[in-house]
Amino acid sequence: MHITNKGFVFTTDLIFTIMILLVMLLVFVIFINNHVNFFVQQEKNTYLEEKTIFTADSFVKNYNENNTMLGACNVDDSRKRILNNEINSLNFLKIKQLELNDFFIKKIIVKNIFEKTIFESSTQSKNCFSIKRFVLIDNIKSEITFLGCLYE
Amino acid sequence: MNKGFVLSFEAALTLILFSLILLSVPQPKTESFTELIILQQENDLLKIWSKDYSPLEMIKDIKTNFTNASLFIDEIQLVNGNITKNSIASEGVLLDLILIEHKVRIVVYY
Repeated sequence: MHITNKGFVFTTDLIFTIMILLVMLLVFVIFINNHVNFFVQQEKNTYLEEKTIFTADSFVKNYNENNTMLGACNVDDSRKRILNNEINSLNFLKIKQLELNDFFIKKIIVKNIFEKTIFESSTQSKNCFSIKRFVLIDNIKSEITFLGCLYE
Repeated sequence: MNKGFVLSFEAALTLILFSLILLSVPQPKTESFTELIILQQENDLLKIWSKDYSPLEMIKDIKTNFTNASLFIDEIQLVNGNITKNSIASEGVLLDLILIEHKVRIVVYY
């Protein structure tokens, strides 16, 4: 840049540098915007996966007499112990939807000799995650699939 | 100086810096619970097998439920998986019908 008697004179270099600076600013804005969007989506997915995994784990490891969605295992009363991964099919009758703000269980499917849906919600959602666990249902080796979703 | 497009040292430096900044932009990592899910499934199978010890059923379960996994019983490899960069192993001691202990290990590669 030259300073003459009349004022500043821009050189090609300076104009070029300013243009690059502006492009850099634009790239940074786009980059930050993409990252924010990505992290928001990632946070949602993590939340959904976490809730689905923990609900399924609770189902196969605990017993909850009010809502067997949170635990459907057999209980050995004599030893006061929960028999994890051993599920009584009668407990399926007491499954209720979880009361969480944005998360719900869409479907629970049991697969052994037959395939049967033991719980299904009518609420529609496209943002879902499924997890498979292995259990003994009435002493029959079974595969149980949980489909957890976020309300839209 | 002749007329034309002249790139000074500063401009060249700016271009290099700009390229470096673009290259150094960190890529966000995707988090997942894959390891936890595999571990839970391995433990589920060990728990189920502890109720009814049957190596044939174990081989069938491993082949049905995991795409790439190995199964060892008493250090003998019954199912052979392809070793990859990541793996998760679970081990348990199971009793058979005559109460003899067997060390069962599942290794899932992913």
